[in-house]
Amino acid sequence: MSDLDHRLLAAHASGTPATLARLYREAGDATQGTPRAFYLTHAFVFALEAGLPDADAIEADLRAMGRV
Amino acid sequence: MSDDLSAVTRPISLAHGLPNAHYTDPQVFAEERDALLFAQWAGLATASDVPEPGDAKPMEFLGTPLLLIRDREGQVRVFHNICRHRGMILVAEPRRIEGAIRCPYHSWCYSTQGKLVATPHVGGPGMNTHEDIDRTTLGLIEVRSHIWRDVVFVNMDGTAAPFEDVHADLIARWSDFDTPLHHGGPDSTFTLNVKTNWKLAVENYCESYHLPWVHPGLNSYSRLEDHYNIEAPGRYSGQGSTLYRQIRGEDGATFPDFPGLPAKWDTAAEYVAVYPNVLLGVQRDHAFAIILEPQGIGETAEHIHLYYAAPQVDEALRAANATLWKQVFEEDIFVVEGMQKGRHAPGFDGGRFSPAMDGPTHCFHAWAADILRARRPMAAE
Repeated sequence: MSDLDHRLLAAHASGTPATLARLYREAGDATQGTPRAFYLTHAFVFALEAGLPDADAIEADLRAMGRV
Repeated sequence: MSDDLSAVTRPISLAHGLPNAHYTDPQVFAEERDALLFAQWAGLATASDVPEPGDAKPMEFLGTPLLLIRDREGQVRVFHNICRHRGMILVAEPRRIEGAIRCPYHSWCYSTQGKLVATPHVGGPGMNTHEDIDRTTLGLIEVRSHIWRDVVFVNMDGTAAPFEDVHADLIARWSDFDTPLHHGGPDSTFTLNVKTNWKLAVENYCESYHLPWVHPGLNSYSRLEDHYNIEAPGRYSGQGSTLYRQIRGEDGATFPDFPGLPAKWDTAAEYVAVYPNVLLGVQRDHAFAIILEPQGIGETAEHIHLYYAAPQVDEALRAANATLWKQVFEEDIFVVEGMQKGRHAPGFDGGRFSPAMDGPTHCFHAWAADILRARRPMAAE
């Protein structure tokens, strides 16, 4: 399991959406195609939940991929 | 089941109270839930329960899961507390919504105004739209709500006339008190869990007949003869007093008055049951609201909130006032619980009213009976 996976699990356990948004965006930026859309989807959801302005940029990325 | 409501709506000198079934029969309880609570403007909570934007409080009202929330713009709203996807409970504990309401199951997200804003993976992994999922039709289900005197009233079935129309005369009657109300805070709210049908709490509240017997402490400064009946058939009833005396601290300090009150309120107070389940009191220097939460046919939670004319009032006096009112309302518990037990006596015929003293109670019974009779098939009685 990668370091990022460990950090994601820890963030899920602590339930901090802002951290989850940041980590899932990091995961998405490290890959392409559907896996990237999958991670960015999670980043978008947690950014929305946390009320982060990043949500708009993540949504724009998903839109560019035809995913929203 | 004997449930002759025609005797209830007779003139008070001939009338009987609501039959036992209205306090003991689960079928009648369900009928009254729909007719007397869901079809009316019922009290649910107070706006002070969600003081800041994003504050959300899950609640239940007669089995329906609801979410009380103050949205981003500061408007208090009431939603069904369920996701439009799989009906999952959205918010399980009171908390602050920082951004969107995320369903904990599949993470569909809603704005605090109830709009569906995200449907992750709804079109497959990483695909967040689907042609058959129209988000504009899948927002949270909002319940009609109206705030008056900080009480959040809800019309669960959406059929009631506008609140301002239903209660126009009470709003006008108490227009002198149409000034900002300041909730006293955590030490000015308390809940009494009472083993009684919610209606008995209304009935006891709106009449003064019992005061000298159940609240003997009031005799020294608020005698029975200082009270008058308030009866607005079909809408509200209660009692008024012409001898209100302010609570004073050891140094003689009093609470500040609500601004601009006419002189008649110097020594007057009124206590009204706003049908179906909200009990309000107004006095020159403080007010209160009691929201009766029916939790079962013989179980009621009484949520009491005290209000003042200023955001900050004397702390010790405020605590003493809360203690005083709690004592008064606790004194009523044995009678409403005793009447509930009494409703299991088959020989009780609903009771006869004192034509002089029980007008407000008869007014409430007649309101209930009229609504129920109008909804029942003719052959049912």
